[in-house]
Formats: sequence, C-alpha cells, structure tokens
Amino acid sequence: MLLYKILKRSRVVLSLLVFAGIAFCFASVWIKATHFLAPLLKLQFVPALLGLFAGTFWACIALLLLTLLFGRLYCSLLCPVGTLQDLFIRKKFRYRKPQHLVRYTILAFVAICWLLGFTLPLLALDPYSNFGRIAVHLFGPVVLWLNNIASNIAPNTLYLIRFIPASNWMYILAMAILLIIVGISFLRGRLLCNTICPVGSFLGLISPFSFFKFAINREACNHCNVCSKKCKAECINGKEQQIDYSRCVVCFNCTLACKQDAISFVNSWKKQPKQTEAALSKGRRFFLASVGGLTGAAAMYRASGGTSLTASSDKNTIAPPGARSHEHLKKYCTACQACVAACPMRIIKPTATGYGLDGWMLPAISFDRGFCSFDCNRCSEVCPTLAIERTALEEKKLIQIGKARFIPRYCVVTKDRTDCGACDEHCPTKAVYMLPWGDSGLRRPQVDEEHCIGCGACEFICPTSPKAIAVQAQVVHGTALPPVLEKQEQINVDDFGF
Amino acid sequence: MKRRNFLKTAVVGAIAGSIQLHHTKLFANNKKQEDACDLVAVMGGEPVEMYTRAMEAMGGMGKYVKRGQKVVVKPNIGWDKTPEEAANTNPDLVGAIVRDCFKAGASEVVVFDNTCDEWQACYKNSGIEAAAKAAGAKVAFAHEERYYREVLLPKAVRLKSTKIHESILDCDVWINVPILKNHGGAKMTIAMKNYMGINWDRRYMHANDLQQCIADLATYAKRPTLNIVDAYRIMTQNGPKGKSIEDVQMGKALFISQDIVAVDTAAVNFFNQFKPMTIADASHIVVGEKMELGTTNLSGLKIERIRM
Repeated sequence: MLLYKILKRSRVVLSLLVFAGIAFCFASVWIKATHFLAPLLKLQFVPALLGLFAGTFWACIALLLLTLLFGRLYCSLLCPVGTLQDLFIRKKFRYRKPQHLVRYTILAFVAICWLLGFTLPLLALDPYSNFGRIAVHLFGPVVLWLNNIASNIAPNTLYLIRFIPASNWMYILAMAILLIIVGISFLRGRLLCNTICPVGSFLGLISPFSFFKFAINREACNHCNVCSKKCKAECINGKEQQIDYSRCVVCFNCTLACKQDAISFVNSWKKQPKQTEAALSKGRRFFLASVGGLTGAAAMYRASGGTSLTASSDKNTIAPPGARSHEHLKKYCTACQACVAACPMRIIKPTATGYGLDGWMLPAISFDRGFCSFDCNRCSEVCPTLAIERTALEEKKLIQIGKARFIPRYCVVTKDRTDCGACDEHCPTKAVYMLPWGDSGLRRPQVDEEHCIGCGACEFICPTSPKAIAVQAQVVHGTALPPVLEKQEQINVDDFGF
Repeated sequence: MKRRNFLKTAVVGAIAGSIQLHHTKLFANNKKQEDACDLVAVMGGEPVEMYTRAMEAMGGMGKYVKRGQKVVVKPNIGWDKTPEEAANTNPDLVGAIVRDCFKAGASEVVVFDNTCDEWQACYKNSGIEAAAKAAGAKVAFAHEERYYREVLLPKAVRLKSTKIHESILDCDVWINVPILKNHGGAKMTIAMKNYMGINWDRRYMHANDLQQCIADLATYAKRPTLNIVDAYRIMTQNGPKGKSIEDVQMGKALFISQDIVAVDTAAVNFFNQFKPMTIADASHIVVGEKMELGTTNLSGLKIERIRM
C-alpha cells in the first residue's frame, strides 16, 4: 500500500512538473526564458513520432519503451492535456463500455490523412498541439498582463511587454478547446483520451501487452466496486473483475481506493491473465486488421511518391526560416505554436488561410511589428518536429525566406527629394544598398536579390505607406549568396584633419 | 523678536538665493569660461586613457555634473553587434564616463538607447549593459512607447513635437556619447544623429526630411552637457549597421565638446581622412548651425589637440 502511495504521489508531482514546464515554455513572455525547457517538447508523442523522419529516434523509442513497460503512463505523466484534465476531475465514475469503433476509426482516419499529406486531422486532434494553442493564446496574454502590472510596481526590474494580438479566431478557438477539455473531463473523466485522442488510441493498442499492469486478486475482491467509482478512465468492470487495459491511464487511483488491497501493479508477462485475451474480441481484431491494412496502403502510396492531398497555399505567405517550403511545413507542422511563443521579435503568428484550408493555424511571418533578427534561430530551436528544421546560425543567415522588392515611386527619396535610407540602414546583409540618384545629390536604395534573405528589416522600417520596399515570399526557400566582404586597407592617420 | 526672526530669515534667504544664483550662473557660463577649451581632440590611445586625458583638458567632470544630480549617459546601442564591429559605442568608454559621473557626485546615472535591432540582444552583445552596470549605472528600458513622453519642439521646422525617453526628460544633465560611423541615409552618424535614440518614432523622421528632423530633434531645450565622440574604432563603410569587421578602421581618437555642431564638424573632418566626406553631405550638421545649435567654424574655437 505504501509503495502505491509513493508511486501515485511521484506520478502526480512529476506530471505537475512536466505540465508546468511545458506551460511555461509556451506561456512565457520573457525572451530567452524558455530555452532550457525546449527539449521537454520533444518528448511529446506526436513530435516524437514526426521526429522519426528527421532521424531522431530516441524520443520515440523512449516513449514506446515506457508504454511497453508501464502501459499508458504517458497519458498520466507526460501529456499536458492529461494533467490539465486531472486538475478538473472531481466526480465519481462508473464502468462504461469502450467506444472502440469510434476511437479506432478516428485513429485510422488521422493516420491515413496524414500519410496522404493532409495534416489537418492530426493537428486538430493532437493533444500536445492543442495544449500549445491554449497555453500560448490564453495563458500567454494573462502572463503578459501580470508582467505589465508588476512592471508598473517595479519599473526598473521588469520591463513592459506590448500585447501583440494574434487573430481573434485563434483566441475563440483556444477558448473553445479549453472549455471542451475541461467540460468533458469534469463530467466524464478521461473520456476524451479514450475516445477522441489519437495518441491515447494508439498507445491503447500497445498497453494491453505492457510488462506492468494492474491486476485484481479475485479471492481478495469483495465486489465493493469502489475501484470502478474511482477510475477516471471508466475502464474497471467491478462485476466481472476486469480492467480494460487499452483505456487504463495508470493513475493508481484504484489500488489506493481498494480497502481489500486486492489491486496490485504487477509483472503481467509471468502468467498470461485471461482477461487480456477477452478484451480483444473477434470483431475488434478484424477491425484493427482492416484499419492497419488501409494505413499500410496509404503509407505505400506516399512512399511511392503519390501526390499529396493538400490544398494550395497562398504564395504570399512567408514561412519561418528552416521550414524549407510551404509543402514541408504543412507536412510536419502540428501548429503547436511553440515558434509563435519563442520568437523574440514576435513576428510569427498563426495564419487562417495562408497555407490553404488544411494549413490552418500554421505559423507565418508578418513584418508589421518587427523583422526576423539576423542573429537568431530560436524558432528552429524550439520546434519539436522537423517542421522548422534545426539550423546552425551561420546556415540560417543564408536562408532566403523571401526577396525584397523596391518600388521607386513610393520611396521618400523619389517623392520628397529628401534623404531617408532607413531600409539600407537596417539591412543585415547589405542586399539593400544606396546608390547616387541622378545628379540630385541624394542616394536611393537598390536591392541585390541574390544576397537578400527576406528578413523584412527594410520593409518593417520603411516609413512610407504603401511600403516602398517589401518582401515577396518564397514558397520554396532559397539560399542567398553569402555577404561579400569588402576588404579595405587599414589607413594610418596621424593628423586630426582639422 | 519678530524683527529678529525676519532678519534671520532674510539673511538665510539671501544666502540661499545667492548660492542658487551663483549655481545657475556657473552653469550657463560653462562654455565661455576663459580657462576651458571649446573642443578637445585626442588621438593615439586606448578609449579610457584618451577619455581621461580629454576630460582633464575639459576641466574635469565636476564642471559638468554637480553633486546630487541625476545624469543620463546616452551611447549608441542601436545594433546587435560586438564592440569589435564598431556599430555601437565602446563599452569601456561608457563605463569610464559613468564612473566619472559618480565621482563628480551624481546621485544616479542612467544608460539607455532606443535600439534598432532586438533590444535585449543589443544591450547584451554591445557589452554596454554589462559595462554600465559594473560602473553602477542603471540601464533603462527603452523598447516600448510607454517609456517616452510627448515634448513640443518650438524651434523645429518639421519635427514640431515628438516623444522623448522619460529618463532624458527627468534627468538634470545628460551626456551624449555617439560612435563615429558612416550612414547610408544621413551620410554620417555622430552626435546629432545619436539623438534619434532618445526619440521614439524613427519612421516619422525618415519620412519628413531626415536631415532637417535630425537638426529639429537637437533643438530640444535640454541640451547635452557634453558630447563625447568615440572614434576609437570607426565604421567607414556599410554603416550604420555594418556587415563585418572589414567595415572598421582603427581611428584611435576621441572628441569632446559642449558644442554639438562643432564636435560633429571635427569628427567629419577626421573621418574624411579615411573616406571622403564633408559636412555639406551630412547636411544635418549644416542645418544645425543654421538653427543656432553650434558652429561649423572650427577656426573660431579654442581647440586643444592631444596626441598620446
């Protein structure tokens, strides 16, 4: 009993720590405050699975081993939505029949769609990404607001942070997601995890075969049913003394509730309990086999280079550096908003239609409030999938996310015949440079497109409206030529010159 | 008794009044004191030793900063660049000035700039935040509009009003510490151009005759008590941000003056030895003279030239 108490307490403490870490990672409004926590995101199931394509195997292997050892402990320990739900679960439960048809249909649909290049179902249902949306767009503004109140009290230590709103639909959506999660967990415990969540369903395929499992001692059990009432997964059938391991999230509530000490967490590989067999009915087997077959077929189709079923994106959308192309981003991004939260210049925002309808909530860059810092690759550092590929800083400095175009007729120099040069001043590569303009004595900007990386510094600072210099997106990112170093002789001067 | 009290009060008041008067008089006449020079130019040393020598020639910081005063030291921290890249004022120089202000009795020294690149990266990588804090200064935030307040500039031509950083508005004296660089828009950026970092809205200035606006901003009533131009490393091309260390020449010089137009003129003449440049090109300096901010006629000034 004491052992289970310790196990449960450690699980709760650990899950709260992970939850807080991930929440802080997303909701922190302080630049560079989240750096050390970013690896936490890589241990989330969907990012880990997508990480396989980037050659990162450790996270996926670790999660599969965890499940093979302890069942769906992931859902009670590492999943932030799981912990979020646990915060609201207060009710008594009763055993309910599983909704296998619903859950595996959803799982298969999500998998097949993703394999066919249609990511929307995955990004809409991935628990981690949904948590990201809630944390970035609901918790984030609250943290920002508190920071600004505190900065009025301690103006020398805490700096003000301007609120830069994302789109209104994003707030409404994040609020709706939060309400659904909290509401369902309040009424029906982990129903969401055991019916809708594709991660829960997938891990539920493995968990019946895990090494450690809860087992009911049939002799000691007095059919009081308290375990069923305490089970937030609603998966313990007290009458039949059976546990549905595909739904059990290993929370240890049942062992602690049982007055007879009849439920223990034991090695199940020693003697094969009958109920595992019973849980997998004939119909379910057939269903799983056909779904598996379909998924396999979809995988073959993609592997053989079949076209992806994705809507066309807006060619004016600027994807963050490291995203390679709209297509690459759409394939691997789950719209978790980690890059949105991490961008120090706060120029990355979720877009509604910028990548087509199936690229909903994916990150895009706009230069209204800032530009892409030359010496920064934060978005690629926090991205837990390979959607924004990790790039070394020197490499990132050559990624061409767009190209600046100069429109002379809007330029201050042309219109007012006065000096300006704001664009040239801000250009980090000197792709924008000033040339004498006729014999006016003035200088006007020029763009060398081959050296332009599309960082938007020129567009951001350009004082005219409409902008005289603006970045045109590259749907497929290019590589700019490295800046030409203009060597100059060191001049030794021994006079003041006046 | 009443009469005695009255007399006492009168005497005390008179003393207090005369001290006050004396004080303002000293302040107003700083520039015209016979023993001091109008402009000091030093070359051939390291930033801090050049500064120390120049300041001696200027009569010491005690002449410009009084006991108990709140001081702002305003360097150029515009860019996310290292000191070697010469896009920002030399951090050692900033540190030395801050220490000097405290030595003169300053109650508080504030350092800030409205940066162009992301502000925290600028503050950190320029080395200025660390140097200023080590010297005891407060490094102020300047990245949000709320740190600025609206000010009217009655003498201005184009920039009739603007938002200026609160620490400049609230200080007793401020010291302008630019770095000497070429500039794609304004041609040169020295002391007058360094004012753009006390101001919030850069775009307005760029869109409304930049050269005029730079001079307009410098008409703000609270002038810097000193302009100290860092020409230790000078950016002679691709300024003001620069591409690489190739854009930098070792100038190994420093100029100080209370006259902002004079110090800019001197610095342009110095720069001209590395790359051709005249004050007619950097026309805000000429406009500055027209607006009576100072003189471009260096021959009329008492200049001390120091070689180290």
